[in-house]
Amino acid sequence: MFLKTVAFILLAFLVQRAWKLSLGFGTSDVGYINRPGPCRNVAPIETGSEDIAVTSNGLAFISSGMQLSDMCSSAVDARFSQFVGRIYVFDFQNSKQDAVEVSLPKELQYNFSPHGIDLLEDSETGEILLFVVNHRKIGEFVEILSYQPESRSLSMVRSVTHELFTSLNDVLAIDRNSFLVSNDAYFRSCWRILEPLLGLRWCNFIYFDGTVGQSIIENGHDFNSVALSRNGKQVYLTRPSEMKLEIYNRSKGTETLKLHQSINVGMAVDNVFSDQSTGDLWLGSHPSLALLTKHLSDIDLRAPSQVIRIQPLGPQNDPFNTYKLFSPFGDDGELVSGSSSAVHFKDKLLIGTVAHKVAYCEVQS
Amino acid sequence: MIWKCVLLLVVAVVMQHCYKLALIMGYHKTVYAHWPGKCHSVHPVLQGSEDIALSEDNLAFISSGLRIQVCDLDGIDPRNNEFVGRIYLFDFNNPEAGASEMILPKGMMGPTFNPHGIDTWFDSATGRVYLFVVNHRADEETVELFTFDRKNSNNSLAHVRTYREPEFRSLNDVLAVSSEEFYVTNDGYFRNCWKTLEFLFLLKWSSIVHVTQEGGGEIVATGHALNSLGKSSGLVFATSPVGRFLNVYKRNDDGTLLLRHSIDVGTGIDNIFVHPHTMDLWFGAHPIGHAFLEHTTNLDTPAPSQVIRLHPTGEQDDPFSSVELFELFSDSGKLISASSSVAVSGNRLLIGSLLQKLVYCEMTVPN
Repeated sequence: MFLKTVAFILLAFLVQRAWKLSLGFGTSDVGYINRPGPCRNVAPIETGSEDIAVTSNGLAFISSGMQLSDMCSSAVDARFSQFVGRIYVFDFQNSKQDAVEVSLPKELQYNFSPHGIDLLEDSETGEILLFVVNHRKIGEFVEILSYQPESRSLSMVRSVTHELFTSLNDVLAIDRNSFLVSNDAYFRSCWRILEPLLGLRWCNFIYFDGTVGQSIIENGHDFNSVALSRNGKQVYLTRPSEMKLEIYNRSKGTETLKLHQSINVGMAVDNVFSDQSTGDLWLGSHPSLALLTKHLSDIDLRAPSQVIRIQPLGPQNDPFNTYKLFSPFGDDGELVSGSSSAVHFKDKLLIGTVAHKVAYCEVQS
Repeated sequence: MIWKCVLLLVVAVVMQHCYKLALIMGYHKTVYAHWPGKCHSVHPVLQGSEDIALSEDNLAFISSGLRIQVCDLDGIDPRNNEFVGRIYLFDFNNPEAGASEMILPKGMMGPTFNPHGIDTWFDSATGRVYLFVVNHRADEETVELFTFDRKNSNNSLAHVRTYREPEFRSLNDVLAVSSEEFYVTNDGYFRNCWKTLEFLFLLKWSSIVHVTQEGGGEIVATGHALNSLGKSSGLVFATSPVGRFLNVYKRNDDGTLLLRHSIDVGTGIDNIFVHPHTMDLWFGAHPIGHAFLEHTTNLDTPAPSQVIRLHPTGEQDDPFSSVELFELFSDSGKLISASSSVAVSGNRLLIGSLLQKLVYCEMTVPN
């Protein structure tokens, strides 16, 4: 009798996990092609463009070549270990030009597996500071780098690591020394697969104030990408496996976050971009996590891509109180596989991927 | 012991079937909006534009006013019973004029005229357009044949013939092969309350009937919920909105069909439009099954709409061995609900709905 009860509870638990996971895994293998205008790839990017940050002048910084092999090498394509971590720069205002590789400081050469990226522009000096999540061989770091436009190079300002950095994903710059950073898992090894399977909540979301790091959200799972609202009063956080975008009210200074709203986007959302001119949110998304997983185990297998735009329709103090979901871009994986980011600048779109190319589109409708 | 095993097996089969139905109902799906350009409703269509057929000179014939109730227990919105069967004409060469109601012959009114799928056939010798219309009369399924003379017609249709065949069970769409030969789909075996069971049990009792000049119908294919028909260079196509697939048949000289491919399209594709120049297939589609059903029970509840283009990418001897799928239009149902049909002329799109409006779009994006 006791054994039967245990078996029944275990079965119920497995069914619940399977159901929850299957929704995020996507139940359709079809990736529809949908273009907002003419689209093309941007040379020479071929080994990923996981995250993109844009200046107010339309200069886009793209993190590329993330080597997923440190994250359970047996589950991912062996070719990832040969990826070279790079930062590319692409100018929206000179879109016919290719993306250009930016040279890294000496400390990061052969020591660079970049993931999430953000930037700060100093309005007085014009200096551009890049904040980059780096999965170094020895641990998880946030690199703060200064961009030198004349030499197209990055110089090291500061390297930050902390015991709370377990498996970093994305970073949000607050000022020259402080930032918010997300952990998408507790383990960085193959054990990480257990976390979604068993519904473990061992992730936290961290505020580093320049000296001290602390968890500002605890006991979560799958914190992915982070962005800031136009007025700085709200922080956006994506949760891919729950297909949600969460909106937190932010107390500037203490950086305490309080969950205000959860938008069910209906698809595994990856990186979020907050459009400063319109207040829209642009999301690189994965219509099928199952196909994305297959693509990461064999890069030649295509994974469908989609970009979602969330348009706020509410009042100024609560913009996403009502909203509309648009999909301006979709692909079957031939142009771009595994879209993880989308940034919008003056009717142009740049779409980045986890391990594939970049697409540039003109938005005509 | 054996009874426990049998019970477990039955439970497993039932659960798997329920899971299949849940996927068809699309409770897990979300619809995202995007239009190919500027879109607006076409006046005065309000009671549906279920199917659209395009003539050689860019005239679109639109069937409207379909009354869909086949069973008292259907729960169909009672307002649908008051719909009036009509054929509208829309001229792509003059889109600002809206749609004009065609004058039907006496006798094609009230319970006698309940139009569903339509197709055109152009007789180049006489310049006459033949219009085949599936008609759900009060107590029988028929296919009506009309002619339209652009020059001398003042917007009226002349009735030529009514086809009645014992194989006509629950008609949906018609495909003209000449002015005297056509194919027609039965979307189920029953046209009464038993039809709900056909859907629930995902039975494959729908069929394609070939009607020839010599008379008589012959069943040339069967399948699950076959709906709309199209043809292109020796091939015949059939959609299944419930099964979410497109069947591609090779058409033999004697009119029989041989199934070559069954392509998963991932959404509830309804009526087919074969593009006269590119040979791509365009579909009006229903992305979310349960929303479609809720719309039929209450016309005020929006149902999402979608337009899909299927582009064959296979070799010349087997073009549909691989395909690309494009989504040209997606809407939550506010602009148009339950899009069932589409017609394309140049970079303009006409989208028809099961029970509601007609929409015209200019496509500014690559299509």
